[in-house]
Amino acid sequence: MGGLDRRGFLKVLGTGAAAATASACTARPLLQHLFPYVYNDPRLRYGEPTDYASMCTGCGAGCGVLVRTREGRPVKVEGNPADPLSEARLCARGQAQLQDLYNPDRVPGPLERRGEVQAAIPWDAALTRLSRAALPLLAAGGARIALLTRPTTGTMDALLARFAAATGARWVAWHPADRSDLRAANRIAYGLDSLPTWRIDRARALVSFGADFLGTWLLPVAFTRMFTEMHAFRGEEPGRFAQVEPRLSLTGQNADQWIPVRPGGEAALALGVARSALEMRGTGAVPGGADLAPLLARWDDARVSRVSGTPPGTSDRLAGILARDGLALPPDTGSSSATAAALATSLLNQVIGAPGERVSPDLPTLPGTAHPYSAVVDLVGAMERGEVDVLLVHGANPAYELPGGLAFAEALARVPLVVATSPYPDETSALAHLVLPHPGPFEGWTDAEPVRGVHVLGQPLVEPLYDTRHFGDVLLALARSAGGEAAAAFPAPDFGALLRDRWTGLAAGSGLAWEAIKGRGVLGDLPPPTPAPPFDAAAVAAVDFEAAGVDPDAASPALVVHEHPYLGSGEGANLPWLQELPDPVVKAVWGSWIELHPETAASLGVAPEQVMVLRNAGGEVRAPAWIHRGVAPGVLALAAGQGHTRYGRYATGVGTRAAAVLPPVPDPVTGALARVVPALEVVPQPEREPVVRTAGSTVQREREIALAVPLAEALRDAGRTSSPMGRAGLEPSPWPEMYRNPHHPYERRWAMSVDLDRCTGCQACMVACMAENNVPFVGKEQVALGREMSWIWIERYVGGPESDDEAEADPARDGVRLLPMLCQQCDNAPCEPVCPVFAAYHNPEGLNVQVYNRCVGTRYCANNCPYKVRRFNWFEYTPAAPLPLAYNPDVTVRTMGVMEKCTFCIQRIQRGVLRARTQDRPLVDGEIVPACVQTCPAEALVFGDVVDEGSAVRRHFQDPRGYGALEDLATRPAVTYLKKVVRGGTLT
Amino acid sequence: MSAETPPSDRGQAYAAVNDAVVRTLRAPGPLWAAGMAASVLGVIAAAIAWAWQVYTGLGVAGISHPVGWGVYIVTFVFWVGIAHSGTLISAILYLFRSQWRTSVYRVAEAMTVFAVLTAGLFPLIHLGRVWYFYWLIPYPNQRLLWPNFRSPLIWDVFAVSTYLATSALFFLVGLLPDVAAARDSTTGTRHRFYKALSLGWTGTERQWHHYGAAYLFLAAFATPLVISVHSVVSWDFAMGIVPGWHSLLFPPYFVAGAIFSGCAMVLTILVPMRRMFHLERYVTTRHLERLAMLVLLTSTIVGYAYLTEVYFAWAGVSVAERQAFQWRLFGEASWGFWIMVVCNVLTPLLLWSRRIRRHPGWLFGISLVVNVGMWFERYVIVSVSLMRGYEPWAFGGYRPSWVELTILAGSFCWFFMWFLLFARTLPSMSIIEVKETLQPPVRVPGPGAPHPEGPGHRGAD
Repeated sequence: MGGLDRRGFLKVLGTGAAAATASACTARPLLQHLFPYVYNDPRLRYGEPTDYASMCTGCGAGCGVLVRTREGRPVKVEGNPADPLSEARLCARGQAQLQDLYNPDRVPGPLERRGEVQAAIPWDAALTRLSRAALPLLAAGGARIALLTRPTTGTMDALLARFAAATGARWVAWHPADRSDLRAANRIAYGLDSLPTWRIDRARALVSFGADFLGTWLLPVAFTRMFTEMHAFRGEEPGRFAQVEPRLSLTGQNADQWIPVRPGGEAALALGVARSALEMRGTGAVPGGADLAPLLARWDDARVSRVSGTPPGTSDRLAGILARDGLALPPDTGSSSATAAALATSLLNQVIGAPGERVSPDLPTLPGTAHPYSAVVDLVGAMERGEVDVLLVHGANPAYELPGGLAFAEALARVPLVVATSPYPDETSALAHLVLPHPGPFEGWTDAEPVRGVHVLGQPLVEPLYDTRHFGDVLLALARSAGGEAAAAFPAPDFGALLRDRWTGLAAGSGLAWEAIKGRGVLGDLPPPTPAPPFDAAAVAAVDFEAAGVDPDAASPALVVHEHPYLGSGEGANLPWLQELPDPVVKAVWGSWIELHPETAASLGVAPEQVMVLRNAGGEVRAPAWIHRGVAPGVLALAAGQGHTRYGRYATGVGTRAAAVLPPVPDPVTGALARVVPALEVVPQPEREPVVRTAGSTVQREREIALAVPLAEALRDAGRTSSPMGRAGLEPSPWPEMYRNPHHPYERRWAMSVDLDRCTGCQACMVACMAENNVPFVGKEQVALGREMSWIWIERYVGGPESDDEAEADPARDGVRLLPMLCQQCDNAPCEPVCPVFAAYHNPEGLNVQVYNRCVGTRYCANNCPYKVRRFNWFEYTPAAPLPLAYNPDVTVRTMGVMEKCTFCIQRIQRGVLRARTQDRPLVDGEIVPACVQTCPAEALVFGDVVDEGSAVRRHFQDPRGYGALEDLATRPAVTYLKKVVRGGTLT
Repeated sequence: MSAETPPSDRGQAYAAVNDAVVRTLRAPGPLWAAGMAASVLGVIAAAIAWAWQVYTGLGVAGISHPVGWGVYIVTFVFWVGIAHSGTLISAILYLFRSQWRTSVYRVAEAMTVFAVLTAGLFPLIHLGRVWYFYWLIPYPNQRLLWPNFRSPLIWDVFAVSTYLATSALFFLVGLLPDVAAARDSTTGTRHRFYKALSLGWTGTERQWHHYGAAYLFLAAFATPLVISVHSVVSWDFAMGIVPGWHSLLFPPYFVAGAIFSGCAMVLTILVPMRRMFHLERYVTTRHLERLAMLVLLTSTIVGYAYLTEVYFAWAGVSVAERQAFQWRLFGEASWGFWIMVVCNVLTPLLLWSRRIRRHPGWLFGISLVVNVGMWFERYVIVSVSLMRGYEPWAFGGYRPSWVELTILAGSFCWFFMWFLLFARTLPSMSIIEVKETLQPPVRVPGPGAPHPEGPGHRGAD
């Protein structure tokens, strides 16, 4: 399909609806004229969705997506099946990109600072002002122009590199979750300045020394796919996984053994494990082993235990499991000890023989440009000295995310022209002289290279909602206006053409035409691991590991700042779906909190939810305390990403800004920004502030909800089948019944299986459900009252059913069980008979259907639901315009006073059934997928017709691990849970 | 039963009874006006709160997840309970020929009607979309949709509406001769009002005959309702599977509780009314004592039910049930349970003392305590149970909002507004039945002689 053609069409349709609601937010009318087609576009079928391949820009990973559009309007984002890394799956942040596109706080058009206010100006005037300031500088060599961006890959990387080279401008590409320490470790060990590629899927044992690879680290969706490949129980001996970290992360919750460690102690433990592994394998069996042996010999068990704060013998146990196709992952804290630990994990991988098999040091993850924090410090220094006259900030928000001690705002005040391209009125834009808004997601061209060899294309698929211009186009215009060498370097008329040229080049070998490339969205595949380059054992042995560890006897607790699992470093803070998505561990929403161990709390004299102020020279953070055992003693943990002072209505004033107390001095070796802050002043405040959570009880209190089975038993029973068809109501009840279900026996019974051994608790399903089913967000005050509206959620229980004391629950000892809870579509549903008006009724395919239009709102059904999956519309929850444009037109938007709940995405079922019927064929198993099943990166959810003997869900129903939640209530649920498999023995 | 000593001097004239009763219908005093004004203001405040709730959404109330039923349903059950002793006193005691009922039954009946009128508001107030309340009523419609007859809420619709209709009918039929008396002694608007209510009553033998038959029939008809209505209300909970609701014990437990609270409410009303209108000669301490004994009896039944519930939770196999009761007795919200025990079980023990039973002030105080306790009993059953269901992840709490509390207060104002209107417009004692208990103003047949009684044989007005 021709781009111009389609875009022209979208211009009319896509913005027709937008104009109605969004025009109030825009500086110019979105739509001047509305023309009907004389001849209807034959590709357009009203009421039928059209999917376009594009790319997610929610984080730096660059997952390929398919964006579902209805009448030209994006309404749902899903993973692209052509993407070899994400394989059609998407995380919560990706699912929330719609709210980024339709965000009510986006900057409507270019702005210029006049005195204290920023006023709208036309693009031409804005660009003229930029080029007037920049052209003399470019003529003088360009050194006084600076660009501050995020790390880049793909066409943007090429453009920026060429721009910097051709003009002499200073370019810094930096992300607050600074992984320069990992690059530095790769440089020292292998002489390569890039991130390795970790092939978790090829390992059979995994020890992560802190990388939250299922949550925030590099490529979470791809790593989740790899992790389930390696770890999920499939009837045979599964992989083992241990996580070593100071604060329980999403990833740590999935560990067979979670090992709390003193921050900075990871290096010691990794060296101890390497020592133990070297002893097991023998020095001669490891290349470079002789060089490493003296270094490692110093890390005996007693010393490792003392420095890392882990129990004696931990090194040997971890070395024991790693012996079998092991892989070690580095920490993710940026501190000097993390560099040491990253090196130590490289060393450990070398000892266990992982390079070339399970990690490829020479195959870069996120190839492209990434500078360390020290480059930012240098830039700020230059700004302070008055050496920068024009600063262009793209994709970054330095005024928010840089450490408080760096005094960025003061340095910025000395720059005569600051240009920000943020689509949001954020902290940096507020200080800018010119705001040149970049398009939102799916509005402009973009691309990425998540792993060397895999290319993802992001094509625009909606007419920009606002008066934006691509940053690439701004740079190109600037270069062209400069003339001479700079102009000559950029023959392409605009960024889209540049990107197209690059992609036709990439696809040269494949024979794909441009249209086909756009349709596919992804090129290339994950290359197989290559033989490892030589390991420089001598260079590693020369590193001073002794100095790296923090003082194990330090009196004041250390603060660990981790990336927010959903808001990242603050980019996602104005997306209400993500703000209302509970933290995967604490299950709190809309805010910040400081996590600490009960012992730490006792020694500091801090009570639960008591407000704490942490202070150092850079600034202070202020948040209530949340006390639990998912934090190592002596550690305070705080998420980045909150505490915006400007950004938008949903972000501003929520939580505290963790960056304020980060150490401003970069690491001397790696130049990274450390996210561990030692020696803070801790000032408990007199007041309390509730940590608003969606969790009632985090222990099961003797109820049989999240169950587990020992590995030996699971292996013994694997392959056997049980026949629990009575569970879903396929077989008659053994009890006499007064009211026989008129639909028995079912001809078709929709059912779902949930594998608790796979679910990682990432909660992508929750956002997918909200997007698909128009589930509203309600805000912090309403969540505090228990009125969150999500139809599906992940219950997080510490330990098994026997646990009944929340204060004693210990994730390291008892393990964490994660259970997706959604409507169980009971055959014998307690909600149905109590509804006085038949709003809740049983449909012939076994679903508990809720007829919104019939509901009068007695709420008896919700009271009587043992799973508590019904949600009531306490108010009319219409979000601010233009967010309603993200509504799925297939699903009724519920009015105030009505009960709602999961329907297994009945609109998708209906569409699938009708499609099969019109094509006069039987339904194919797996053809119909609810939104939660579709997006689940771990493939924990399987949906289908349980009457169909050949269906996957039927097999899962017959799995001996299967059970129904609260089965003894005789509800006969259509959701079968497969018990988590507890890998005892090796790890405990 | 007919051997009761009349509550007055043997020589008292029928005219004195007329005077005493009709006196209550004369021009209102300042106390009455103040009470009426306060009540009407309270009703207006509640109406505003409700309008705000309808306009904004049910979220302005404190109910949420998992506690979907709060003050509204608690108060609904409370008022339905209050409504019960009215019928008990007027119908059941009538059938059993308990003469002491004569001087109190009109008040009790009025209380019943007004309490049902109040209770009936709450299922509407608590609806998410009150403007569709009529979908709960089976009426022929083009969509061919019926309500769900399996839902206890539909049983409730029938039970409460039947009860309202029957108790109103019983009340109005019982009023006929007295209203006719009032009609004959008034003029103007009041005359027309009484004329309409009296349905052309002239007091002929034929009318007396039908009147008696109708009264007996309605008494017999209303009697099973006393049992059935509150049993049905209890099924709103017992038919659910919520731990703390799902109990076979509920129907008798609720009926006993209803009579308990109803008798207490009769005392709450009767004691001040008796004082204000100087009815001590007709509503004697002996009457009050009888009511007190009924309160004491039902208190022990209710207390026994509390113990049984706890015992079954402890001895039963359901973990959720056991923990729900642990929570009810010792959890954060256990104050509700202990208020209930102190008010409903311990305080009424005072009534074992004859001195207290016969002391109107004590009775008034105890009846207030019982009313409070019975409200909290329903709170404990309805809301505290919902806080701890089956799914630990969904445990939660409940704090009523100002809207709910305003409407709760407004419901009392609404009730007393009707009652104050009643006290000034309708005879608050049955003139004819009180007269029946008197010695007829004829030749004295001798002290303690049986008084001819029966529905067809009443003294002429």
